[in-house]
Amino acid sequence: MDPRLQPNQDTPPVQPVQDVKPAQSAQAPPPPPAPVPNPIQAPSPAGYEVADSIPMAAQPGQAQAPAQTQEAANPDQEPHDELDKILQAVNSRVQAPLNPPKSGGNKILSKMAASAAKAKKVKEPKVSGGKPVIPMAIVIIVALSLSAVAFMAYRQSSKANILSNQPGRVGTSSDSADAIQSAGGTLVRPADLDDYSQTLSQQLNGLNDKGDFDSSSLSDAVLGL
Amino acid sequence: MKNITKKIVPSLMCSAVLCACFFSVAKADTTNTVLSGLITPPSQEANTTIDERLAARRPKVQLSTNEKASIAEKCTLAQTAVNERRTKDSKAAASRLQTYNELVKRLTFLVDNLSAQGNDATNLLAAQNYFVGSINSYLVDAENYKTTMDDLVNMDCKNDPAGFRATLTEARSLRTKTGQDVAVVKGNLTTLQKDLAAARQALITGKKS
Repeated sequence: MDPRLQPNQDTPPVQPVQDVKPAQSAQAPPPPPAPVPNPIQAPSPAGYEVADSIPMAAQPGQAQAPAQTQEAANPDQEPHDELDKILQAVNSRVQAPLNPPKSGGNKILSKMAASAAKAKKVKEPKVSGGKPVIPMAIVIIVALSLSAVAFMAYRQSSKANILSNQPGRVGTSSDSADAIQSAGGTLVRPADLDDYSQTLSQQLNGLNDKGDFDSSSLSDAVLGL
Repeated sequence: MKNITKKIVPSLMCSAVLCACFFSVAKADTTNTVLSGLITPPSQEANTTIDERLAARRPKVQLSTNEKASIAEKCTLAQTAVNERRTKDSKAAASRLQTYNELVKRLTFLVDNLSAQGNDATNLLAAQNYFVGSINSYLVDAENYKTTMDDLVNMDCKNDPAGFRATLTEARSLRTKTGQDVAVVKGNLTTLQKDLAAARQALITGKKS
């Protein structure tokens, strides 16, 4: 598997694939990149994977022989090297999203991710701390309705009070009794007058007039003068 | 849900308290809203000082030297006795005022409703006015009596025996007068009962003005 496809924090920047020189280098050749069709060159012969005119092999172990063969078979490869480099660069850029370089280019992506996260937070509705509009509205409506009922009852009693605070007024309407009752007042019945007469007598006779205003209470003898 | 409940409960309690207040006002007995017609007499203690009042009373008595010395010697104990009497008089006056107030208010309510019903309440109204007038006279004299009793307790009797004697004399006079006033108030009882009986008969027979 191409190591460039694997996520790695310390993955160095992808470098274009260099020409393989098995005769000079003792190291194993790098793994071949994904083949990019080269519109200039003809399709590679069977058994070989030619990527951008660079001799490529399916197996790393077999890379040297084909590379030597390819290199010997294409003596005039230099004009295509630059083009190959360009194509390799393009190829690496295409592969960049799969394994983005962490250094340098990561800053831009991290900024983009941070801004996206912020935008997401802003768009999310606040769940806690919101005002309970509906319950408050219900409470207000109930309070207003109860207040209105109490005010209506108070108005009824005040109407009766207005009628009762007109001393000596002689009614002219035959329906005055009904008017009093409809306004919340009460009719005076004979029993009410009897009851008041008895109460008047009891209350006045119950007062201790003689004891409360006895003249001897302030006499010199009582005061010791 | 708990936060919502915590916010709603205080609001509901406040609204319930307010509505209870409204209902208590609305359910108030109508008779309590009727004016009794009794006055609140002005107090001399609010308009004059004790020295001014003593200065006004002092010329009314003439004391000899022995009398002044005797009063100066015994007035302190007398002030204690006067203070006790003043306490009892205050309680009795408050109870009497409450009784008069309730009787007048209820009578006013009856007279007003009788008139509103179309019944002839002229005689009862006149009796009511006389009843209220007699009580107001008692209230004025009772307030003056209270002022003299306060002066007796608060003054410097040792240095002003003449003033003490003059104030004591005025207190006795006002006490007698208030006693006469309450007798007049009670004297209205007969007239009121007669007029109440007549109004009752008119209601029974259905006689209207």
